[in-house]
Parts: sequence; structure tokens; C-alpha cells
Amino acid sequence: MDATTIERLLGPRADEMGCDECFDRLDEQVERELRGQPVDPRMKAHLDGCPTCAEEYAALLEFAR
Amino acid sequence: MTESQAWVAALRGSGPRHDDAVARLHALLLGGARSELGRRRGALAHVRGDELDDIATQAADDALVAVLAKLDDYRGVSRFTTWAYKFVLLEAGVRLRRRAWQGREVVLDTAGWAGFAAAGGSAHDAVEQAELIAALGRAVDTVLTPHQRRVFVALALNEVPIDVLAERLATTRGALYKTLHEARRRLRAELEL
Repeated sequence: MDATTIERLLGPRADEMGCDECFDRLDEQVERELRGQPVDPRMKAHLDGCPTCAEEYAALLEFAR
Repeated sequence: MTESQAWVAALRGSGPRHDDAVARLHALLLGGARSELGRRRGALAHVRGDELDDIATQAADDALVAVLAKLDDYRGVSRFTTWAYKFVLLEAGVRLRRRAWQGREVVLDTAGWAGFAAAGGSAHDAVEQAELIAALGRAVDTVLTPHQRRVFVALALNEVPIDVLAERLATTRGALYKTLHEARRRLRAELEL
């Protein structure tokens, strides 16, 4: 186990939103990213800590491109 | 009228215009579900083609119901199609992850923890790193409640998808992530990381 794995296990240090808020705002934040606008840091932190939400974000980003 | 406003107006309307919009939306969602299945084909090599078709159809049907039920929640901050598409990604993703884990045991105890920590404890690890791993193992056993420990081990350590675990424990994704978040907070506090 290396330092990266430990960081992954312990999740994001930053303040993050939960899965429900992430889903509610997924479309809005994906389109912000596509327009080159900053994504909410609380969502970015959540995507770092939740692989399932990160998977859905990536899939929606691919669709919306 | 923007394209998104036209979608909402047609779906809120009645008669042939409404029926046509519902049919177009279902086709869009079905295409989305199939595309998502195609993207994940690698993880689903063992699943038959007709079963995948069923999964796509069920995901599109349920996403259509969700979109129509939540139409008033659409605030217009994104394109309507992006907003609608997230529902089918959710429905397809949940089904695919559950199918991929069907028949697989979800390990909820910490028995695997020792092996996992030891596997990385090679001579290449710095002493400080080895101490951190040992401290993390102790913290998992001592500062977490039994429920937090089960959730942390399953989600973070064993990488069980959160919706698969939610189904097995008869709870919700949101509730599980809240538990994981609190477990991580306690572990960081204990380790002063």
C-alpha cells in the first residue's frame, strides 16, 4: 500500500457535497465544464471520493460534448 | 423558444404533440442506455446480448418515468437533453453495476484488511509509510463504529460500488456515502492527516 492508496482510502480533504446533491447538479456542472467555467469545488471533491458519481459525471460529460 | 423550452412545453402538453415528444424522449434515453452499455462492454463480456438489450430497455423505461415525474424540477440551467440523459445514465449504471456484482460476495468484515495492508508492506516501503499503514489499520479497528467499519471496508477498501452495497444493505447511496464520509473524517482526525 502506498501513499496514493492511503489518500484514496481516506478520501478528499476538502469540503464535499453528498451523492444526492451531486446527482441534482450533475448536468449543470458538466455543462459548466464544457463552457470552460469552474466546476463547484465541493463537487470536484466529491468526485474524487466517490468513484460511482465520478463514473456518471464522466459519462454525462461524454454525452454532452 | 429554445430547444429545451420546446421539449418541456411538448412534454407538458397533451395530444399527439405530447405523445410524439414522449416517444422521441424514450428513443433518446434508449440510445443513451445502449451507448452506456457499449462503453462498459469490457466489464460485461459474460452477459448475453439479449440480456443487455433488456437492461437497456428497462433503464430507458425507468428513466422516462423519472424524467416525466421530475419535469417541474428542471430549472433550465443545462440543456434539457443533458438533464434528461443523467437519469438514464443513473438507471443504466445501477443495473450494470448490480449485474456485474451478481453472485459475488460483498465482504463486510475487516478480515481482508490485514492482508491488504501487509501486501503493500514490502521492503520498498519507507519506515514512516509502514507505520502509517499500521496506524490506519489500528484506527479502522478502534475509532470506527461497527457500521462505519463495514461501510469503509466495503466501499473504500474492497471497492464495492456504492449502489451495489446500498442494495445489499437495504439502504440508500446518499446514506452510505454520509457514513463513509464520517468514517474517513474520524480516520483522518485519528491519524492527524
